[in-house]
Amino acid sequence: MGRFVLRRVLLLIPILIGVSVLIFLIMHLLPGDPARLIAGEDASEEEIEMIRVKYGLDKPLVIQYLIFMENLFKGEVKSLRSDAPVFEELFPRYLNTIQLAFSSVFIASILGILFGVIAAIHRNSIVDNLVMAVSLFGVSMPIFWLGILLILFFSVYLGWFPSGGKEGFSSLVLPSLTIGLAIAAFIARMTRALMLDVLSQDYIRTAVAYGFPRKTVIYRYALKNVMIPIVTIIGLQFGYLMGGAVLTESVFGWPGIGRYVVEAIFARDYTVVQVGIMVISATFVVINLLVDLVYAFLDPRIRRG
Amino acid sequence: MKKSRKTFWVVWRRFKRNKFAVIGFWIIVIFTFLAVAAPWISPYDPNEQDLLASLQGPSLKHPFGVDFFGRDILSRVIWGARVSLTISVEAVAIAVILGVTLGAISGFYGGVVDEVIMRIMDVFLAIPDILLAIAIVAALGPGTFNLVLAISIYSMPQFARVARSAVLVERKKEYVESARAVGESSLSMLFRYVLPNSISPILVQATLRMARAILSVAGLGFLGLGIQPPTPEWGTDLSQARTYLQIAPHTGIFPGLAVFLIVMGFNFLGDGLNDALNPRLKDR
Repeated sequence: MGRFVLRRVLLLIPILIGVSVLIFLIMHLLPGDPARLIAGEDASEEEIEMIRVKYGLDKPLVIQYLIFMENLFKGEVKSLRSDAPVFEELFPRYLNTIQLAFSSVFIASILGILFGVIAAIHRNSIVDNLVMAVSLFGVSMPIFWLGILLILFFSVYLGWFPSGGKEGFSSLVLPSLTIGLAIAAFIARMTRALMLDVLSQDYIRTAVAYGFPRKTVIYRYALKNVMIPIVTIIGLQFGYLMGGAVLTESVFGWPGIGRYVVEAIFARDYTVVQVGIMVISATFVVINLLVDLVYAFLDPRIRRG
Repeated sequence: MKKSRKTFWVVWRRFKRNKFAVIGFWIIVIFTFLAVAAPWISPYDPNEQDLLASLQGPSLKHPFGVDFFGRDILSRVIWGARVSLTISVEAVAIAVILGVTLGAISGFYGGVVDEVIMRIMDVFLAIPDILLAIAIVAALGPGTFNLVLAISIYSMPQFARVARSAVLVERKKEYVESARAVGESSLSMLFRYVLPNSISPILVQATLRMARAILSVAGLGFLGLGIQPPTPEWGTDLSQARTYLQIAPHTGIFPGLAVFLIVMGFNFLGDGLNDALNPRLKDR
């Protein structure tokens, strides 16, 4: 197991380097002079030249990348707008995004597994059809529109929750519900399919034939075996929602890292955009790795394969 | 030729049995019609402002109501179909060409070429797709062309993967061996025999990617990074509606409904095609 973990962690390094290079290249290679953009529309040529030297934009691209990475690891990359270290501004927002992500996954897991199991046990019943229909729609739902609909119903019509901002627990409800419902739809579909698969297996039939109570068979034997792949699916969704958070944060004005990046784009704060996207992608990659490791831990067949 | 026509009808019959796939197909037909016929069927000019009617709710005159600038929302939704579909089709087409070429070369030649191409694709896949698009648009600025480019770049690795595995399967088949024995060159073999036989997974992937592309166009528009106003685009219109939800809820409904329906159409169609083209999966 130790060697398996080590190998997977080592494989992570080239991917992370690749991600940082790719994002760096996107921001630097594409047409458009960053110095001119930073300086603004009506800057003189000298001002632009000064900015080019100040930010090292006159150096070769490879050197620029290395300097950038060095500063990144020292935590010295600065926001172009405020001249403050990016991490200082980024960290609290990052925590806000993580908070949103956790509460969304929490809602999604409970709803998704609950309805998936109910649908599988009562296969082809009205409940099953309803769950399947809702989850089918849910998969196609644009997350920002779902957010708007939830605002319309729970905030404008019922007045239960605030429509945006971050003040106390109540402001967390609607954004978490938005992402949570979108993911719950997917988890419910997968849970149902996996449950049906397990329920048709011989050992379940044997357990039933031995006269074990229905509940014991379903919860002790079937669900337990379904949980391993479901944990993986939930974990992979956790990574995906780092991307979805960008949109949801904008709908609700949630002060997370996604909104921070989008605001930085409008302010032409390139270093923030660069660091922000790198941090989100790194989180995405690391979570995927953790999910793989947990999966391997739960299911010994994987690490031997 | 005769054989391929027969295969088509077999697939079509299987496809037609799937209710959802047929619904998806018709949703796409309707939206394509809206997109093509927008100039003739849209009741108003989508940019025509009637400030006196600002934020009016749905009525006989304006079935979907009026937005803040007094523009007819129905007309904007119809024209939005044209904008969204054009960008998505272009983006997916470019992604198919780039991705399939890279993936096919990767799978066909294997070895170092394969390693290099696929590891680069892995890096692309390590960045959540909407963020990759945001990075590209942030560097290039908003605009139709840049949007197409951003979406095609993040969609490309998916096609590379699908094409690669399809080619790996085909490469081992007997007809490839025979072609090689007759002295057919590698490249001509790849494009004349192997790729045409790998078309169905690519087609399924393209349909599903259309759904993601439409979501991205609207998503980037919603963030203010997509198509710029006053061009009618669903996501951009929704982000403007966000401000007036309290007083004019209708402005937040219809553009989003359009995105939802067409994305659902492509998802249904993609799943249906998948079942129809790979019947083994269905009959397990």
